[in-house]
Amino acid sequence: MLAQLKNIPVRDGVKIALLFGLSGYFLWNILTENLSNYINTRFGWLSWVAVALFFAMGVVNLLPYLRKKSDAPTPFIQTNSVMPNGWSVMLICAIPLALGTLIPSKPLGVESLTGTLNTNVSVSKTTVITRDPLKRNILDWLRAFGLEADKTRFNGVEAEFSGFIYRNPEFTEGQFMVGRFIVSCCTADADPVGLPVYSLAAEDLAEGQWVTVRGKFTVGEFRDSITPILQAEIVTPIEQPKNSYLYP
Amino acid sequence: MENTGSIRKTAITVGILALIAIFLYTLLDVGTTGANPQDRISTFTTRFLGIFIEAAPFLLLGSLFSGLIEVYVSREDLFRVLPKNPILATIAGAFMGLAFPVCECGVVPVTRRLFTKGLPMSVGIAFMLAAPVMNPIVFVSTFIAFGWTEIIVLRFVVTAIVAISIGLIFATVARPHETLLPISFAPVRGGNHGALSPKSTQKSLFSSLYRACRVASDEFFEMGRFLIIGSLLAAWMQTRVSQQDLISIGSGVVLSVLAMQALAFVLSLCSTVDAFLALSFLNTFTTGSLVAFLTFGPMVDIKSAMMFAGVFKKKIVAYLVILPFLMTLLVGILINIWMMR
Repeated sequence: MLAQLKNIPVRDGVKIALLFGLSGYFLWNILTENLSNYINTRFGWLSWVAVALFFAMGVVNLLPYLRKKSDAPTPFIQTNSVMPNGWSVMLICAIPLALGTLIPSKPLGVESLTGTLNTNVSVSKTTVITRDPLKRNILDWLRAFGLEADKTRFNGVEAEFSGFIYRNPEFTEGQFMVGRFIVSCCTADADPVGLPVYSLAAEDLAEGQWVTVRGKFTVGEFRDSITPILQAEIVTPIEQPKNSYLYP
Repeated sequence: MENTGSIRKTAITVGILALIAIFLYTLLDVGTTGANPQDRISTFTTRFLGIFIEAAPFLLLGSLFSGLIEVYVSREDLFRVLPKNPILATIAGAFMGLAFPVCECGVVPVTRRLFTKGLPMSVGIAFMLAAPVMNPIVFVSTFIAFGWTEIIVLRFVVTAIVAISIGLIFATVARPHETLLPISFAPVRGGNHGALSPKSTQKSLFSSLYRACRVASDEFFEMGRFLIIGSLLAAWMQTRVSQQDLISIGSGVVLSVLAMQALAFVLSLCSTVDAFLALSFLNTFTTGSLVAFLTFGPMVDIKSAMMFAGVFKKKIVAYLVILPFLMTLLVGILINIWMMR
């Protein structure tokens, strides 16, 4: 079989390698759960489709070279290549594989921000927040704030949520935000959101550090609007979770 | 003559290298104090791979459809199904997505394959622009996001009107050899007559599927390069310009529509899931701008515009970007004015 593989023209060999490589790359992302760094996990099944189709395409491109000489590719098969893919095409199609393997897989974080964290998310009239307050994430709280016209109703409400620390020169001493990225489809639409938190205990923690904060809301002024601010009693540094995005 | 060709080739190479240099320079923010090139590369890669990993399965499925069309659909089949009247055929083209449920990544290879089978230009254009919305998957996702509201109705109605109108414009002025790249309307290279009457060459289900898969893999590489270049550009834009900056441009009847069109173009989202993102703008943006986002984005975005370049001549690609942009802009503004009354 090795002898037969040696007969594969270089360009076809590269093409076959790319197809198997892309199949393997998608499979690796699924198995290592790195997929959640890139897309909403709801669409993870699509990557299984990619694994299967890339693999099948690799096999059908390899098959003619594995046959015995008498079964060598027929002229029909050799001429059915509608588009003889050139080296430039191969080079471009290798980019995802090269970036995916050479650059360590990492979710978007505070260093990815091109602006600030949003404190408004859209809520429809039918949105209902049923989750227990102590189990709500940042998105749940922002939705709850959006649904309630009278923000003072959140005074004294206890909450606990996790995210990365975001600081801004405009913030006062002890003030910071805890943020997450919301991903609807993939990282292309990642929207950074966050909640304002007050705690002097977090002053030593670096921006981008993941924390769980627990405390009570008090309504106050933040970035020129009246909004609930968490007065954190406990700030616990945590490891960044494997799946760090929130999904609407 | 040879000298001119050599100079042209050198100029193109220098131009591409200059573009890559500008791309890297602006991506890494060289010369800007405080910029961290490592973080920028990491963010850029995550955004690029996000788009690619989301879009690649759809392109693969579109390529597979293309391969199956190559093997199982003949020119005669196509003309038997399509109405003889060019206007009716164009309208039918806009609804062909119900039979070929593909998004904007998958629709381009399918359209190109149908062109090689002799699909009329107007029908192909209407299909290519409408199918990313006019399909059952998008209907379900839009319904889940918005429920039975004016947004879902307007999304489908506006898409049909714009796609059919542009298809009819092409029906009156365009001819395949003036519009398509040679590869998009020629039968299969190598003089394989099987492309025109594939049924005559079929031996078994296995050999048919085998051939479909071979064609699909070629198609994937050919279209995939445009998807990858488009995804690189989209990721670069997203690394440089925030969603908030784009959104902050737009409030009001006209600017809100322009802002959402720009967002749709830059984000290059899959049409099967863009409704969920549009939902997050429901209370902050005008209805007209949301409709423009949900209709213009599936027709044209950075990656699909790049993919058009693999099917159509450059001038036609420009028309296929500008016409949907202007028409959905106009419709978006009209909806806003109507809603304000």
